[in-house]
Amino acid sequence: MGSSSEKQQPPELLLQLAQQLSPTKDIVQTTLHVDGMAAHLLYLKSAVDSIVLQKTIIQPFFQVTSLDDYASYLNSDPNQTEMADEQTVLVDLTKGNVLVAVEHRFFLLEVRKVGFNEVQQITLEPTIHGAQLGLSESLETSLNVIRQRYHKPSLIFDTMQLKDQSNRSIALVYDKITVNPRALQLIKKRLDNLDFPLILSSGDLQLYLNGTKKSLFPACLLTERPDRLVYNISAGKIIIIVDGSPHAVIAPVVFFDFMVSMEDLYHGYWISILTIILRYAGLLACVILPALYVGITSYTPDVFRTELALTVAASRIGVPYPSFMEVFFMLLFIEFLTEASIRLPSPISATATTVGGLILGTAAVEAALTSNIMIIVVSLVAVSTFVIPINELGFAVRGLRFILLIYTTFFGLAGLAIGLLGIVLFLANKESFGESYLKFGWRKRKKEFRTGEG
Amino acid sequence: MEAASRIKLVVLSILLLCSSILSACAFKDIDRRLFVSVIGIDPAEKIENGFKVTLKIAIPFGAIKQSSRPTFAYLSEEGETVGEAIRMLETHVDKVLELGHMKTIVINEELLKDDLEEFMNFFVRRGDVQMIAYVTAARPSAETILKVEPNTEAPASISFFNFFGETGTESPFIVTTYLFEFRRDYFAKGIDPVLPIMETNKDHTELIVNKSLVIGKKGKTLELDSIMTKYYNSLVHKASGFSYKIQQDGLHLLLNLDVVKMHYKILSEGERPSKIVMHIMKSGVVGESNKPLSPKKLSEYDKLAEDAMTKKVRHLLLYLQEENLDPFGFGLRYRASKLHSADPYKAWEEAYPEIDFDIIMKVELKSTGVTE
Amino acid sequence: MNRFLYYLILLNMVVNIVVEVPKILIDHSHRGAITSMLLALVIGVSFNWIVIKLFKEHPGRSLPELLHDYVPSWISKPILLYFAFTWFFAGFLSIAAFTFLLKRFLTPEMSTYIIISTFVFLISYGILMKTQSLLNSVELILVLNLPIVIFLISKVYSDRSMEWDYVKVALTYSNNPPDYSAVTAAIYPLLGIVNIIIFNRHILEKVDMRMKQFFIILLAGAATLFTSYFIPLGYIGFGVSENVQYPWILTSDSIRLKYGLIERFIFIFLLIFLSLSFLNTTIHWHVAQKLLDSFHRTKKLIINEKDYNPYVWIVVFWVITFIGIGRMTEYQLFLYGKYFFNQQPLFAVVLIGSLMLIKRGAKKKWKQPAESN
Repeated sequence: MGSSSEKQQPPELLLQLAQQLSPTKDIVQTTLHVDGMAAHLLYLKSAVDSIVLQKTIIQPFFQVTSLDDYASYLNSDPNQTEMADEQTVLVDLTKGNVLVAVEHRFFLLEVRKVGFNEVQQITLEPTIHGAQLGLSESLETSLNVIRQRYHKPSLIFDTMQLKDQSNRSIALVYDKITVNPRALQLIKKRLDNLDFPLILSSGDLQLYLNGTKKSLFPACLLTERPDRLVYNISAGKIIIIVDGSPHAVIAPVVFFDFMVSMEDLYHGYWISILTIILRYAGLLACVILPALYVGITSYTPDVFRTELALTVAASRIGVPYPSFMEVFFMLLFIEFLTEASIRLPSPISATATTVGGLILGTAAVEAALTSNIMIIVVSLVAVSTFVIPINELGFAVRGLRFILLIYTTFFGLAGLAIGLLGIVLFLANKESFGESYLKFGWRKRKKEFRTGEG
Repeated sequence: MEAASRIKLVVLSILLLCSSILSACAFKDIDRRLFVSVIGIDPAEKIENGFKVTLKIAIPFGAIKQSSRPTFAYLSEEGETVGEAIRMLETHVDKVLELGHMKTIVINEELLKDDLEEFMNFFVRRGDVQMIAYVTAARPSAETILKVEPNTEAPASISFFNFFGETGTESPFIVTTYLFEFRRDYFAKGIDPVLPIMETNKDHTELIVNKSLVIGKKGKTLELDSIMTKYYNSLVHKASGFSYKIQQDGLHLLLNLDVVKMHYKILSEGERPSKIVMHIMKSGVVGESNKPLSPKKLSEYDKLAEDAMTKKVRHLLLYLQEENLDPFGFGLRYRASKLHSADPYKAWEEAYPEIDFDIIMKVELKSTGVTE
Repeated sequence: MNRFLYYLILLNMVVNIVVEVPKILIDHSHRGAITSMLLALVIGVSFNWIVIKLFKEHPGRSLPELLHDYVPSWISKPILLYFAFTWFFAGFLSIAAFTFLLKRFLTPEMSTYIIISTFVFLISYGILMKTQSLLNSVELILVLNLPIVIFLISKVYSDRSMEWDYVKVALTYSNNPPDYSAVTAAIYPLLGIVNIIIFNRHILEKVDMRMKQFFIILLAGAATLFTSYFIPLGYIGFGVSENVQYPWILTSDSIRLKYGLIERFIFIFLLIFLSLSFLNTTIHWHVAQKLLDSFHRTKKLIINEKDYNPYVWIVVFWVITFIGIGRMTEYQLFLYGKYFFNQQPLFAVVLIGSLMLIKRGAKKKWKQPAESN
């Protein structure tokens, strides 16, 4: 009996772990016994799926005849997790593992409950054709989504754990045949050296991976579209997914990746060519238009056709500020509007845009605070910013046009031309995980051209 | 990297700040500028050998759509040179005079008889004057012409620009000469520029352009009347809208010839140019007739037109030859045909007054129009 | 031939259509411009041939590296300094030219120093860039701009105001003997290949020139020179153009885009050529800085593992540029440009000579491998 009561006692390790986890209230430490057999369970109720637990761990205990049978049953469970040191076990417990002690053997079994494993609707990059559902907030489901769209034995999932306070799992996904080995190495190194206290989602992970903290242009692409992921995997890029975040990070990227909408692939040749041209025209318009307005009206009005010059001059009658102030204020105003309408719930944001855009705009012209040509320019700029398919680039471009505006204000039209070239030089000099950010992707290029250091 | 980028940032912002202080002088808003649209040059009344410069300035008007007429301001000043007069005019207005949109230069007919080099220099030397400005001669004076505000003029459009370069009206009577062409042909040996003549009616409500002026070297000018202008323009500039009226045996035919092609050869006898063979091809349709026409007889009408027009062209060529003027650029063509060491221009100058013209005209009427 | 070599050659050709070269050629239109151009074409293209052939033997190596390895430093240092100066001066001249151009045609009220600073800051960024990024941006900008350049040039060719008779008259002067200044000026656009001395480090394959490439370069060069010299004559007139400072700018102002977004051709023309010229200057100065770096660098300026040597050179460039151009007149610009062109034979001799030295040095090293280590 003594021995049996000894058996009833949970092992030391279990108690220790329970000690370390307390005083949280969702800790469960329980003992199963029948016919003198006993098994001890330790888990966190909030992390564990109780139905699965019941089915796979508790019920079999009452069906087997000996503890050895039960142990070998547990041992052959594919969900078993390797046990390392105590700290890791603790983290594993918080992830939804159940620690089972049978005599003196311990088993760590994963019985995760993920309340948010539904695949989500795509909201950021909607397309008319193409996938309507994106990734999930659960890593497993997301990986499942990718696996289900890319059936190839060379697809690799490389899961690891973040070294921050949240200890979340992340997964590197790539095709081992097409992947760029240098970039892979670099990403792994960066992930290893990551030293941030808390990473919340793929959004900030992406920023930390960037290398340089202060950067206008994103070095990775954030997406929620599985088709974009698969497309990029097959092109040799690396996907990073963080558990609990429905967005995936694609790296390395080049500038042109940000101008691709998945819809381009689903349309006919000419239509997609036209939309691509449209998109680049939009990009160009929203970057240079404000600067162009200043450069032409204040430095070289000869560029206009005479009729236009007269119209612009007429519309500026009574405007008290120099053109660059006018542009600056109006751009700021548009930024307010955009920012406000993003943050507000959609029924209210419509009102904000109407009041701001329509009423204020007209009133500003009526009050001769700004010229109506300026209103046209600013609205054009605002609209064309939204033509850019990836949001991060949209934000970068919004910053960029202010820089170009300043440069043009100082140096006139020549400043605009040179400033544009400067942007090209800057982007070409930028790197995303060892790849030049802006370059043409001609074939055979690697052979002709040294990309290494120096 | 961190420190370096910070240093870079600081240096850049200091430099930008410095330059922003300096840049204040070049920054000038569009509403602080006055757009000179036409410049007129007359001989000065008070200063000997001076010029009187008149500027036509387009004033931007608050609401263009509502205003019914364009508004112009006129400034006049005399000076020894054009540049000097304009410098003086800058003190008469509160805004910067902007010559970048000056697209028509109106020159008093009398001035064209003098040496042009002096005031042409001003326009070419200044960087902001367009080389594609139109040059015209004015009768009776540039100032009168400038001050005409035609009834058909719409706000924010300037009728002086629409006349030329086929922007608005297109007519074979209107010769378009750009500043660079005028300068090029004026200075070059072997060709003489032609300027349109701008006139106005009695009430100063219309601008009329249908004559032209050949400007020779050494101040020789020759007026071409409207008919000759039309022929010159359609042959040299391929101006469209050419029409010709045949009158014979009570038959009145108006031919609209929309295609005019011309090329010529200069034949030489030994070292001397002797004959110019000009091939002209015209084709078009019958535009107007006082009698019913038969399509079968088209070739007959062709013949009629050919004979009549050959006469006209010959008349024009002989008229020019008599005055020793060469707006067609025959001399230039001849120069191009011989190595310069043979001095072909000298031979040409000697030969041109006696050279023969052989005109081979071909008219091809495509149809009798919509009705027979 | 490697794509990037074409870019370097083409860029230099296109940029030099505009400013000094046509001016000098048109000045010589009565004194053998045409024969000079023909001679220059032959010399220039053969020079391309020689340089490429000599570099073919050293794939992935730049001239300073080669000099360092195979030539004693008392010879290589002066050579490097001379080259650095040449490249710097080439860039300096194009900045000066465009500064005057902008001041004349685009922003007349702007102070010279501001116009210079428009270029200089961003060029300095270009100098500090990684060499391969610079090549990437050259490719990008050139590929984006070339269609526009071709449109502009073809517009100039096909405009109705273009009077071919003047070109024909100019052709009647083809029996004059060539003139030294005209030849050197006409060679200059063909010398874009010389930038290979630094860029060869990043160009790995196909540094070679066969018959086909030879003819492509020959044709491109002929087209460049023809356009540069003859086309302005058709607009400005033959025998009238000598006193024109900027024949090509006057030419571009003589074209009207009747239905264009911008009516005046000159602005598009100026801005496009300004961009390309900026790019070419960036290349020149990048090369100059790299040469100076291998000429002399101190360890003292390496602070926190960051090398501040290039910054020193950039500041030197700035000072010379601001003071130099600030005091220069247009006449001096053309004069110095002429001097610069006239010294090109010396440049060619030094370049080919140093490559020969390297060849000899390399052979020696092969024979005595023990000593080299």
